[in-house]
Amino acid sequence: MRTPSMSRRNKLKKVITYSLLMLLCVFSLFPILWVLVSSLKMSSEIYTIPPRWIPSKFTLLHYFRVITNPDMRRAFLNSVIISSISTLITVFFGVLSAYAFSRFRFRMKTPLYYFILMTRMLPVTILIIPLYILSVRLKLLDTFLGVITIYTAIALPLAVWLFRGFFETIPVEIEEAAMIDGCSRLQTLIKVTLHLLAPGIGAVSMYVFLFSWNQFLIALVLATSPEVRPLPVELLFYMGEYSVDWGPLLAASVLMVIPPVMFFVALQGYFSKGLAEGAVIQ
Amino acid sequence: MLLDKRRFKWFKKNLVIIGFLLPTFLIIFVVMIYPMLHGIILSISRLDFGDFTLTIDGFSNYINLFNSDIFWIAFKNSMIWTVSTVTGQFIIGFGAALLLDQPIKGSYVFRTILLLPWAFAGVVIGVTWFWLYHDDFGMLTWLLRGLNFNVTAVLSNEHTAFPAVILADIWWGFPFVMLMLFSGLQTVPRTLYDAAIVDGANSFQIFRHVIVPWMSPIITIVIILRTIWSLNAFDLVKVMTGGGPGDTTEIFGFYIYKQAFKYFKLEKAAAASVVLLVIAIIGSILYIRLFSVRGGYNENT
Repeated sequence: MRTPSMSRRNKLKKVITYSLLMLLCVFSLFPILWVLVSSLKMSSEIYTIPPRWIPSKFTLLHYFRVITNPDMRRAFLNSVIISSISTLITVFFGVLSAYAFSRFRFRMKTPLYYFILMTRMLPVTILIIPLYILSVRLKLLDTFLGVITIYTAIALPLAVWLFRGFFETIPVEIEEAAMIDGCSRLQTLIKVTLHLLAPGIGAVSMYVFLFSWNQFLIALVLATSPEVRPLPVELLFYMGEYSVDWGPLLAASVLMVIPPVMFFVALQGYFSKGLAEGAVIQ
Repeated sequence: MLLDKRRFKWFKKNLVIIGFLLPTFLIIFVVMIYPMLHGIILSISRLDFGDFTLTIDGFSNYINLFNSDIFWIAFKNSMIWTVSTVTGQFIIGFGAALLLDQPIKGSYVFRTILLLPWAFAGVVIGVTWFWLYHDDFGMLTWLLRGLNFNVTAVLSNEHTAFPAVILADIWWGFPFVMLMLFSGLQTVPRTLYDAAIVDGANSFQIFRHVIVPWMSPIITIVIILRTIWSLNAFDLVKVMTGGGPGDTTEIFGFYIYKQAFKYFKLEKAAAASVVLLVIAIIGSILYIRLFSVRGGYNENT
C-alpha cells in the first residue's frame, strides 16, 4: 500500500524537478540563443518584423567584419594583455599571502585577514573618481601599467580568500613530512604545496581573468585611447547615438564571451569546489 | 648573546611573513585605501582642474548634493533596484540550487547552462537585453506581445524601462547565488537529513529546520555581497538606457559616473560616493560580524 504511493510521489517530484530545471534553462538560454542566432543572420534578416528564430540562410559575414576591423583586433589584443598580466600578478601575490594566512602564526593575523576581506567589499564606484585624479597626476591615464595595477588590486582580496580556502584543504602533515625529509619551507612550498594547489590555481586564475576581461567602468574611465582600450569599451563604438550597427555588434559580443565561457565549462567543477571551501572554511 | 640570537630568529621568521604579505598589502593600500581617503577629502574640497590639486572647502559639496533632486531620485531608484534585484536573484538562485541538489541525471549539464550568464561581461549583457527589448526586431518584445502584453519600446517607456533593466540584472546575477548556495548545500551533513527523515519531517520541514539554519551564514554572505554589488551597479544602465527615459533608471553607480565624467562635477560625485561608502561600511561590519560567528560555529562542530 505504502510503496506504490511513495513511488508515485517520487515520480511526481522528479517530474516537477526536471520541469522546473528545464524552465530555468530556457530563462538562461533564451537571451543567449537569440543573440547567437541574430549574429548569424544576413543584415536584411536581422531586421524582419516579426523577428524569426530560424533565418533562411546563416552567414559569418558579421564575424568577418569584426575580425577584420583593426580597432577590434587591437582591442582584443589589449584585453588579452591586460587580463593575462593582471591574472599572473594576482595569482602570484595571492598565493603568497594566502599561504602566510594559512600556515604561519603571527600577531595581528585575524585583523589583517579581516582587513583584506573588507577591501573586497569596497565598490569600484567609490574608487573610480580618486583613481582618475591620481592617474592624471601620475600620468598613468591610458597606460597598461595603470589599468593592470588597478585590476590586480581589486582582484587580490578575492584571490587571497579563495586560495586560503584551498590551502586549508591541503593537510599540513604532507608539508611537515617534506620538511622532515630535509626540504626548506620555500622548497616545500614550491615542490609540494603548489603541486597540490594546481587545481585551485586554475580556478582562481579563471576567476581573475574573467573579472579583468569583463571589467567595464574602470576601462571606460581610465583606458579610452585606442592603444590600451579593451573590448568592453571598444564594443560601444558599434552603438551610435542614433543608430546601432546590430550585425557586427552582436557578432563582437558573441566573440567576446567565447573565452570566458570556454574557461567556465572547462573549470567549473574546480571552481565551485573552491568557492564552497572558501566560503565554508573561510 | 642568547637574547640577540632569539631576536634575530624572530626577525628572520617574521621577515618571511612580511615578505609574503607585503606585496598584497602594498597594492591594496595604493589602489584602494589611499584613493578611498583621497575621495573622502575630495568630497569636502574644491578641485583645481589645472593641476588637479585640492583646497578644503567644507561641506558645500554635500549641501549641493542633498539639494539636488536627481540625487534623491537616484537614491530612491537605487533602493528599489537593490531590493528587487537581490530578491529576484536570491529566489531564483536558491531555487535553482535546491533543484540541482536533488538526485538528478545530467546535473553537470544543467549547472553549466544555468551558470552561463555569469560568465558574460556586463556590457555584453546590456547589448543582449537591449536587442531582446528592441521595439521592432526584439524577440522578447514580440514574445510579450504574443502573450497579450501591450508593450511599446520597452526601454524608452517610463513605466517599463526600469523593470526591464532589473530583469536583465536578475538574469546576470542569479547564477552567482546559485553557485554559492549549491556549494553550501554540499556541506550539509547527510546524517542531518537522515535524522530529520527518521523523525518524519517532510521536505518543507527539512528545508525550514535543517537546510536554512545550517546555511544561514553563507546565505547572509551571499545577500550582503549581492546587495553591495547591486548598490554599485553601472554597466547595464550605461548600455541599455543611459539613466533614461527621464530619470527613471538613474541609479547610484550611474549617477556618480555621470556627475563626474559627463558634467565634470568630480567633488559632488565624490560626495555621493562617500554616501555610498557609508552604506558599504555598514554592510562590511555586518560581514565581519558574520565571519566571527562562523568561526565559532566551526569550533563547535
